[in-house]
Amino acid sequence: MINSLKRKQVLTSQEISNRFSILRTALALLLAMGIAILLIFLVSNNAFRDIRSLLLGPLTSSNRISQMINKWIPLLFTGTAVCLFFSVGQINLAAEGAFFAGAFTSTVVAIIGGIPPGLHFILCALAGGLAGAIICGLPGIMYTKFNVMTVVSSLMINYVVLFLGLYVITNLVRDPAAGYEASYRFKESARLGELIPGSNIHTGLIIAVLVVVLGYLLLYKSTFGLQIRTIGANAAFAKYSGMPVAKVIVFTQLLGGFIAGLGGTTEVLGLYNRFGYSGLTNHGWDGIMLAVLARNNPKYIPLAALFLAYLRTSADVLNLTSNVPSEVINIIQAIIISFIAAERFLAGWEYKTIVRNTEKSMALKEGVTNE
Amino acid sequence: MEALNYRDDTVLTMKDITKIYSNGFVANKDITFSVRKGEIHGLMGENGAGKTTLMKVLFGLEKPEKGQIILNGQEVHIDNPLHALEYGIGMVHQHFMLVGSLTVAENMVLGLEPKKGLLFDYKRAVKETEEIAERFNLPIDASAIVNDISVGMKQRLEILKILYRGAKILLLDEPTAVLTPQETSELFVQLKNLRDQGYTIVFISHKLGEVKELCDRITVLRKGEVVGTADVDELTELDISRMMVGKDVDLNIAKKEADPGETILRVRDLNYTNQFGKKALNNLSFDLRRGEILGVAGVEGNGQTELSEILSGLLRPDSGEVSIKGKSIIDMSIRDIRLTNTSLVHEDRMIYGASEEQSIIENIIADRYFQKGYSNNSILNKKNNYEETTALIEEYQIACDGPEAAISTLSGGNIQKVVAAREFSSDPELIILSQPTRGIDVGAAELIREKMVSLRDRLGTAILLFSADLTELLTMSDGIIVLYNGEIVAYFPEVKKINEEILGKYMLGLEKQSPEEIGGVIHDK
Repeated sequence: MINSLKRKQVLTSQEISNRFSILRTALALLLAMGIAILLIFLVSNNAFRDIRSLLLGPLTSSNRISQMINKWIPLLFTGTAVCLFFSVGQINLAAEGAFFAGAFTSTVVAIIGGIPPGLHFILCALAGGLAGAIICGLPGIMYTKFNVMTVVSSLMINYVVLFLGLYVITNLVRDPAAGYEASYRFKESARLGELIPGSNIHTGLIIAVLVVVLGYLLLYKSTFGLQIRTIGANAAFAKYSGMPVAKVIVFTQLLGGFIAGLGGTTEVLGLYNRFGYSGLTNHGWDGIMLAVLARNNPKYIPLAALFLAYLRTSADVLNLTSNVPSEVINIIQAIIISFIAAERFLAGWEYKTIVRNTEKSMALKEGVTNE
Repeated sequence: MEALNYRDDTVLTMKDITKIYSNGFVANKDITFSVRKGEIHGLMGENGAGKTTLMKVLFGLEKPEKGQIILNGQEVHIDNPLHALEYGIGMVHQHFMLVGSLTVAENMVLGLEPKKGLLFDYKRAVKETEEIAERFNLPIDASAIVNDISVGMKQRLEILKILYRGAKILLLDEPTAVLTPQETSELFVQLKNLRDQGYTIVFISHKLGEVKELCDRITVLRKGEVVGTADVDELTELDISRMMVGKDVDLNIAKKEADPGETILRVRDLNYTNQFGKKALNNLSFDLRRGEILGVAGVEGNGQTELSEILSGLLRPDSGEVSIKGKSIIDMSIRDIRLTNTSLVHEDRMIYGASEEQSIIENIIADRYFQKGYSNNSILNKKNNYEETTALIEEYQIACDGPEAAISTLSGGNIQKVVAAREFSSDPELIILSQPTRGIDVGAAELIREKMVSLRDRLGTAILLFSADLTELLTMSDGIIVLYNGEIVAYFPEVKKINEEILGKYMLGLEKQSPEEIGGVIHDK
């Protein structure tokens, strides 16, 4: 009786905490945008035009919309991959390297001729995914076998991958006729087609959406996901409950790596006709930010990734149409991350709200008992 | 019960203190509490009643939402422990705040180190330690490493530490929780000595007998509120327990004679050396039979933790055999041990027993999610898990906002009920049960104990019960073994014939039974 009354009129402390967590994210976004606008005022020679570009730029032409969607696709892969890593409690930063490894490994397969279309892409995807799995799996194995800190080993492995990849491209599959440091042309049979003819948006979008959906179902609906999240929340508890902790950690790193590697594959085979990267692509780092924004839940990755893709497209527009440097976008990104990672941000307000709420529910309870 | 009367000798008053924690838990609600100079004042209440919080407010560790602290007639603001010490208020925490690898003297002067030039003057630290120990008649070996001294000595060091820092009002948070009966009576003598020298002591406890014996006055808290303050002489133990719990408590659990069956758990010649090279278990052998509760007594650190962790698969022994229903478990994973129909309750509830950030449902299914009904083809069966958790919440009377509430929103007693609900609901044949009621309220403890007896009688569950609470061991166990220095030094097949004093002697290693008597615990010859 008291309980049901309480639930109707007063929130539980947990509900308040959840609301504050959403508020924290929303406020961080607003603050970041506010600061960006302020910066534009300071440096721009046509502030109103440039603020318009920042806010609405990506929507001004269909070309820009497809650009934005193409920027969105790889983020869906790396965001989901990092959600998996973080959910099992591993700060694995190798999604960056896995993405790159996926790109150059699938390149090697994609230049082989004589494989039928469809099958060719599947082979490329397998090669890219497996390369990614190895890259992210190694830090996981090193952690479970030798207790090497994942954050250190995974960070380092990115550079190993980068230079290994550049070696492979420049020494094994470099096309001297390309005119720049790039691989031979991908065979048409390996490339991803356009999703809607004339739109420039490639079919990798379908794979990306599938990955997000499956990632969400795996994490939140399956027994394997329960193991992942339990280990991430309290590994000692998971072990004592009988969960195979080391196995789950390693498998999750392999799976996340596969997804990131598949992302790299989709990216090069969807957008380009040769491998032309000369450095890391930042998609893995972006994945980390997205996982933080999405609180490790793939369900929120599409929204978070869309936001980032939108900002990046705005940056391109600004770059083309104004004197505002596109680095403004990096500032926005940094501010958002700092605010969301700051657990104590708004903590005082949250605490006061909970105290007031509790006082209210105490008064209410007394009212009921007095009647 | 007398109203609070402000007498001349009132040295400290806390007025209308309200403290609400960030999870919305109201730990103290309009508490008014005062102590007189030169008294030992018992602060009583069940776990979760708000005793520790109130003392933390006084010691500057928690900031209250509301209320005043009046010291010697003047309002003071205490924002941190250094402040509190300046006002002459010192606190000894439930868990020792000592650096184990340093010596007694180094711990004593930590933060106030005597210097010789720029360097730490260790000799003077030792000298000052010896001086203060002598002044208060609390002898201690100043140059011993803290890890090597007994629990009673650590307690003494903690008290000396705050005396060294000039405390006149001593707040002791459940100081006897880790002591043997003998160490406890020694501590009481020392505390009475301090009182006679004019020191004021607030003694937090939920043990009726101790408070009756030691304190001059008591204040009882219940659910964050003051129930009353009274002279100890005016109250019987039953009065106090009624004030604490709010109803008459039955201190005895209804329990019939055990009817032990065949051996379920068999342990032979078990040896384990810990990471410091200390022999934690030395040739341990015993049997636990179906339908029997075997208690394991011992002062903390005499091998109980190691034994329970070996039996649950967390540690591997150096040598020896352990088998459950005839199958060796030495090379088994924890999952495989659990699959022999064994339940495991670790003494550390918040690390091994529960996952704070996850829901009650996820905590309940953590050991069974892979079984049919809880999941089908690796997909969690949400409906079944929700319903089953709801039923368990009902059965174990878990106070919560529903099955999806996070564990972090529950009180200690309710968290332990969640642990018990999980481990007891799988119809286990064997339970390795460590500290099942440590630090939880009487109501929750009573429920858990009833469930234990019911499992024993209904299913013939064999229970190996590790507990630091001797009263619990004596009421719940059918037989008791005592561990001292990693060895079984006594086996009592009939618990009725012994009491806490007798257990205490064996726990301290003052006495040891003959090998024949100890061998009585081996039923499978």
